[in-house]
Amino acid sequence: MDVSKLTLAGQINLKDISEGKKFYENFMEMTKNPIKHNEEFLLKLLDDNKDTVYGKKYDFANIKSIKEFQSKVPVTEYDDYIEYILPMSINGTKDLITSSEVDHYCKSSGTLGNPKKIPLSKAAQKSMQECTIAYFKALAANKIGLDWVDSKAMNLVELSIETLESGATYGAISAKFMFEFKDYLNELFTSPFEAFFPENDTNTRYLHARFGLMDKNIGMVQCAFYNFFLEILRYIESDWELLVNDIEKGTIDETIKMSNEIRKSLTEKIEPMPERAAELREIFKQGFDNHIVKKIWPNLAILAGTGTGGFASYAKKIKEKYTGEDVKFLYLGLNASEGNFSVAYDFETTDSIFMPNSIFYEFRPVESEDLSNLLTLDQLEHGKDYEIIITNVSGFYRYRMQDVIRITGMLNNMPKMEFLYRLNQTVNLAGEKTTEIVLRNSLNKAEKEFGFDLVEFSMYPDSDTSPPKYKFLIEALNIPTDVEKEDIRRFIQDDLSKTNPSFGDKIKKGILGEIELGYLFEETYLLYRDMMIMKGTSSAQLKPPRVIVNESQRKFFFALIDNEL
Amino acid sequence: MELIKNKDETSLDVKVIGRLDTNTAPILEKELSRDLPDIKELTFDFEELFYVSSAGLRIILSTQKTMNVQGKMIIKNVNDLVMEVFDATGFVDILTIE
Repeated sequence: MDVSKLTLAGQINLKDISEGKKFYENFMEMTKNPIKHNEEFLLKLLDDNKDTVYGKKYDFANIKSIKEFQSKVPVTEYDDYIEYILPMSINGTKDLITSSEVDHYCKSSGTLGNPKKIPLSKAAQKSMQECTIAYFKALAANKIGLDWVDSKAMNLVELSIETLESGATYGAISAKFMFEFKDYLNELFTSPFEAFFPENDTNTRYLHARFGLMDKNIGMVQCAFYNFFLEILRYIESDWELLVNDIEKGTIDETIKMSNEIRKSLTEKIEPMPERAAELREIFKQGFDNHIVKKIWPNLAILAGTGTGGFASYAKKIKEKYTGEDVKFLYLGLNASEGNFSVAYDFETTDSIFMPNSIFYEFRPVESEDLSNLLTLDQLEHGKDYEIIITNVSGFYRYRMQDVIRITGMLNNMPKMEFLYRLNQTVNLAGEKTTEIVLRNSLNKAEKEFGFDLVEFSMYPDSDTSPPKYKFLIEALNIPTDVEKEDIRRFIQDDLSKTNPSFGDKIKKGILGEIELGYLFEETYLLYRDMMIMKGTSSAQLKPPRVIVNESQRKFFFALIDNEL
Repeated sequence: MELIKNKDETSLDVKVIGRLDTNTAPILEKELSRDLPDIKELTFDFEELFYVSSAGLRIILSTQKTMNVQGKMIIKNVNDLVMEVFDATGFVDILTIE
């Protein structure tokens, strides 16, 4: 490859690959003895933090083994850290829970309530950047070659970032990373700056789709969650004539929302592209049912983002309808506001591997409530499910993530894991313990059985009725006219009863009432998203609430049931 | 849905009559995208708006965002049915309702 002939994007990608190669090789080396690396990481972390307020309180200086750590330091939740996080975020007070500099706080996904402030130290950011950028490009080079390298990526994140009283930034961590790249955004990504950091009420779907369609040479699509890409594809499908007309003429249709300043600035950046428009028009006229993505972007090789857990159904839809097998899917592992907890080790696999030199891991088998005998990386069993508890470089020690994972196998001696569900998204009205994954599977089966398109769903576990009951709310398109709501309701209830016999037993005995089903208005989940973004949540962290957990969410969704259906 | 508009240089009154739903919301959106650019004061009259769906609420929300920058937006004469929806969805905290 002649580097001098590469675009700037190509040169940066090659540089990242070169740097990422050592992280990739290091990860592969660590798979041989992960617990050794994990214990070394923990002991160094404790030594580094022995003089912090938290370190002194729990005598980090005299902890010399994992066992001592587990006996001296308590298992924690977010509320245990509020007394430290407040002075850190307001006054910039140092050395409370971490000796590492904290210049950023992540907004947790939150609900309709106030999001939390999760500290993210500079050390954690460095590790995340290495894993999310350099490592995964090196992985891509290793697994699928370099054909994608000399191209821009379609990146679908939309971000906002604030500055706290302490001077630290507050928002999704991807916002901070993207902001650091702001001078190169146009060279690396197809979407303009105005789509990444949208002002006011800019129609970002249009911007991502339109600028993406203009570039035939896209090699990679990056998104926080796979549903973002599905949303863009659906938008292109419904509005392709407007998009193509604009590309042809170099205009932005007057119905597309954005401020006059942004419209003017963007219009200056675009030229009429009649040839590309004609090419796209021919493609779109043939319909969208036959893996159209590679016709639009022949060099597109990689779709990267979170497409597991609650997002698996979106990945399936994208592959079945839009991409086929020609675009390789990279699932980016388990990421949260508290950091990255696992990384992909290959394409097209939904499991990932732990990062023993960045996080210390402990595990609670889900069948046990006992937090006094947590397991470590070397004690996990294939096929078993565990709650993950982490110690990180940002000041969280033995912190309950509320995430449940399954061990899916081994890579050398490194357990492979798959995200299953969040504990606070588990429904337990009468001891039946229905997980989010079970709810989702039943809805997906109903979608297939009755031939409608499920946009999204939520379930409210109503404990105020007697007996308590599950109330499902679904947003669905194209429900066949001969399908009765009662048929779908009955199917979901029967399927849940089969999948979770405890649920079925409690329905039979009348301990739980028959489930209810309501149809939500079209665009309800888009409205939810709009509302959350208006309240300050970053779209990169927005997940639909599969289990409705508070009164604000309950009122919101129940007000939007379409009683005419 | 029927729209009755009254516009001068910088203010716009829009009376929305009927239903604001998936079918009619794009019509309102298109009308507003033409009229709003120079408007500093927008008033919606919802006295005869009897039905609003999520798609309709999205248009109201996005218009509010635009007017937050350009000036102000007031909604008046909201009937009980629509007010219930505004209340439950948290719109009452975002909109100025008279």
